Amino acid sequence: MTNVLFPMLQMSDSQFPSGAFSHSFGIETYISNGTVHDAPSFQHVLELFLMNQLVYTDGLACRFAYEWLESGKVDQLWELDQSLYALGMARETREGNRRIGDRLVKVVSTLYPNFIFEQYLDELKEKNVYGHGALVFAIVSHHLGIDVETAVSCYGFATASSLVQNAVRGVPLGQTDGQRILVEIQPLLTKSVEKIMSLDESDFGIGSPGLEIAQMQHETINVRLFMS
Amino acid sequence: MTYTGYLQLEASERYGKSVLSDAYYNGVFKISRPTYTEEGLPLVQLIHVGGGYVDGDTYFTKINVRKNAKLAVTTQASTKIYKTRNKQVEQKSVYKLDEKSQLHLKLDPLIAYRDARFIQQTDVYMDKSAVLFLTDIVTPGWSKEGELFPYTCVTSKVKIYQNEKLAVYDHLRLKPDEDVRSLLQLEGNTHIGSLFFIHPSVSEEWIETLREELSSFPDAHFGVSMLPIPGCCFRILAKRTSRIEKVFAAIETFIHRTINNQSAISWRK
Repeated sequence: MTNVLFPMLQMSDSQFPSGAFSHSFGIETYISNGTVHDAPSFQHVLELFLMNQLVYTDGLACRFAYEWLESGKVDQLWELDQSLYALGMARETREGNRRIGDRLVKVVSTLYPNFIFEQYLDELKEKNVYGHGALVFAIVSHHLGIDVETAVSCYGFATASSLVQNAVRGVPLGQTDGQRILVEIQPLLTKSVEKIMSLDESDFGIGSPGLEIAQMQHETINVRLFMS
Repeated sequence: MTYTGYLQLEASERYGKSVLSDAYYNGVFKISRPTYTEEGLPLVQLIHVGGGYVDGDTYFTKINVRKNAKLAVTTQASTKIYKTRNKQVEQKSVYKLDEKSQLHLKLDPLIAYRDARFIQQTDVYMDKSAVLFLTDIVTPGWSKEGELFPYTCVTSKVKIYQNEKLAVYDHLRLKPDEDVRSLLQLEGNTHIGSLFFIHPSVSEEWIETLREELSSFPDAHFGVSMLPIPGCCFRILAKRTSRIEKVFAAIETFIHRTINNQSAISWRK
């Protein structure tokens, strides 16, 4: 078997063509109203984002998807995809996740063709599902025999890394500041993954009202770098 | 299962008029005698005769609105949740909206006092042509020690299915010991209000005009956005219930002026 580190590094690279570079998921609203204006204020928001959005929704979805693949409950993946879409109260964020998800399914399924991706593509074509990056990470990791915690960790790191790259352009921050943040958040990321592994289905999808409002308000910001 | 409070309502259309065709209640739930609003909607007030929700209470509400019928439901007073140390209070509501039916639900704020634990689950099954107006406000109760957040945990799950497909899933959990006032959460506020309005005529353009209308509340901290189905979710954070209610009233007036071409429902409160 090939070294599983390589595909995970490739998938977590912020240069991976997922389209995530166009989305701030509401963080641009905090930049626009001055809440985020330098490296520490961005890091604070990023940490809260990971502790909430990643832990209760995206990261938890990645874990569930992996576990359902493990137990052969593939249909539950498509239900999960629908729930993730239904959880999006802000249009731009919901559409952003859908675009990124759709793109990731198409790109990654050509890199690692397998039966689950074929089904995902079919469900997308039938418009039964919308596409979500968390599921793509779970499918690839499961396919390559990577354990669930590593899968969730990589997904979490990829999320953080793309938000940092966007903050470097959007706040703006220095490249070194951005990389330092990616080092400093690692303990929190580890804790977040531990928390994700300890939650159950009733915890899934707990939203962050303030963040949701920021994501909704993003629609009315005059000068925007990002689509969400 | 025996509930602390059980309520079942049905509205139907008879000869072009909406009527309350079935009402059954048990335990601490009661309803007022239905009155009719100026627009001809039967209006029902929900009454909790026990005064408040306590340890281990369970509640179930089921409302069916039949084809072409309309119904307006409100509460007589706020929902107060007291100490629930042993078993959290559970409230489940199921609303079923048939073709071209309308359900307008305006609930008084939920007030969670010291050590309160509460979970509510609302499931709405609606036809594509049906209309839903639903509001929810969660506020912390007064505490002797002057704490801002005396309660333990309030959870609300709202799922809206349109033609059997999950379209909207709102999951809110306020847990004060997990820094509920921080950024991304209540952002320094104590009160949260949510309003869902699902109507076939809701469009991006309509939401844009609603935003313009709401610019008369420059200090209010809110957001509104289009849902995956024709409809919108409006969310507001505040430090007082009255502020949320004022903005909700403005939205209601706007809805009735722009979509129904009539004045807002007179809730008689």
